[in-house]
Amino acid sequence: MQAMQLSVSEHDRAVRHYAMRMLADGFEVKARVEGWFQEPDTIGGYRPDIVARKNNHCIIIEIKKGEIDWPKIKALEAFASIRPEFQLQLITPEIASKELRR
Amino acid sequence: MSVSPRERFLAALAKMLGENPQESGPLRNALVCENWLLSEILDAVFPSTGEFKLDREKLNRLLLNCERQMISEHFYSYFFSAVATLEDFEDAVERFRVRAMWLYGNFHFALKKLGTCDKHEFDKETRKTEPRSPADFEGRESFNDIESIPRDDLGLLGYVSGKQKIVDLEICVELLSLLHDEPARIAEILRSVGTEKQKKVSETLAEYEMPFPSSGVGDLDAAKLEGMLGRIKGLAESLRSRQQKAIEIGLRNTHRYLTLPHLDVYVATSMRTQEDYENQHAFIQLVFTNPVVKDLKLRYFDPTLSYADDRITKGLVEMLMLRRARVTIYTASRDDTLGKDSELAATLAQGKAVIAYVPPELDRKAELLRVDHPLGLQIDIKTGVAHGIIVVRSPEHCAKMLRKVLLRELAFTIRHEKGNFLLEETETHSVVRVVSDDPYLTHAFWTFFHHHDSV
Repeated sequence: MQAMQLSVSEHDRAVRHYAMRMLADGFEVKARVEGWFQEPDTIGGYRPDIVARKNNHCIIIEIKKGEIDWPKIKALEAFASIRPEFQLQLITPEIASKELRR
Repeated sequence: MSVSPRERFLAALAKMLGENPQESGPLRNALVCENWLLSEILDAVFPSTGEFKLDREKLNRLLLNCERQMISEHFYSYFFSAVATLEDFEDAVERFRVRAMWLYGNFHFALKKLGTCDKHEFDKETRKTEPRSPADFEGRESFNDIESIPRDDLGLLGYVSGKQKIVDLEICVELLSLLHDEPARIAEILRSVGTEKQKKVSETLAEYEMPFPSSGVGDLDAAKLEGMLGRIKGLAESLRSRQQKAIEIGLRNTHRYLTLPHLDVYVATSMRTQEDYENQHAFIQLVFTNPVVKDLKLRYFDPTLSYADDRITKGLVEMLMLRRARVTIYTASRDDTLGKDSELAATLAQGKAVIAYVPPELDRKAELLRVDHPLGLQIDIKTGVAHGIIVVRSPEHCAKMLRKVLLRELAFTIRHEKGNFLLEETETHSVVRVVSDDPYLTHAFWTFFHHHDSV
């Protein structure tokens, strides 16, 4: 069975959804939502979808569109693996899609 | 003091050679023969009978004595065969000078090129200045290839007017959902969201007549949020669906534009708001349905009906359209954009015509474009000829000038101003070609324009 993929517009909606949720939970949020949030800095040449910071803890949230995203995800994983203060949270297309349907 | 016919003749001849007539003797800078010989030739042109007797032999003797090459029979025949009076000669010289400016931007070179080339080359060059038959256009099939998009949805193709509008609505949906799901945390959530974003949400919802406090909790409660959420979700969903349909049509249209066998006109615009989209679309409709051009069945690129997913694709598509079209219509606005202005300059640099439409309320802008704008004059990178723009003030006038440009029916006069010759289109008074009168600049310009050493 072919793996599920998110369209660009579904992906962007998911970014807005998770960014607002993190914001409501008291995080300081940078996200790829033009006009509303400051963009996150690049990590290993890639710009993550969301970086949420609270106290000294940072969560990098990446909404996966599909298999095509693997180089970016590898770069984010490599970055987070050697920095204990950073946690990478990957949202699969299935989870994002379910969340958006709620 | 009245000017004698001989002086008028010599002044016209000087203009034909590209020499600025001198008060001390119109041909002073060009003449290499002695005065008695010039007088002898002029006596033959102006015999004592009072007639004006010019033929190719006499004109060639004069050219020879001005250090110029002799002109061919076909050149003489094309410009001077009907000359019977001094006035006819002056008119014929002006006809030549208009063509010289139009084709080469240089009188001296034009005389050498057109005066000495073979008949085939001469016909090929002069044909570029002669009117085209409307039948060349009318014989084509009507242009019905492009799908329309409902007027209210045109702006949904734009970034600011479409994408951002939906983003703003969806941020509101997200916030209202969060507040609705946890009514006990309303105050806490709004504090976390911050005053700046709450104010923006309040402003966005106000556009849909939904009151939302710009700060603090106000009178928000679960019941109120329930109603607002339902309504805003419906609006976002409807807008998303309309945008999707508009995008699908816009993408299909882009593919059609990419494969059109002809493209006559590119329309350069900048659109940010829904109103911009509607105004531009209405302007384009007014121009191309005008009876003056309708029968020409023109193929034109309407940017309000085309869509590309990203700026790179959009840029490449538009650059190709600009490259393929014969004419660009530029629509001026109060605040111009780099993209649109560079399209104007790129068209001129390709040696093609630009018609700039300046709406009635922008008088100063029209004058700026017609007289002073730094981008209003660009050299054709293939020929070195400086091209200017045609300024129009109404869609009807735009259609009229478009027809004239495409059928080569423009009429011109030549003015001399501040050391430059200006080729002015007579109806709009727009300067469409220029030739510098400065010999030093002219020499340096053409020397280096044709100098192809690697940089």
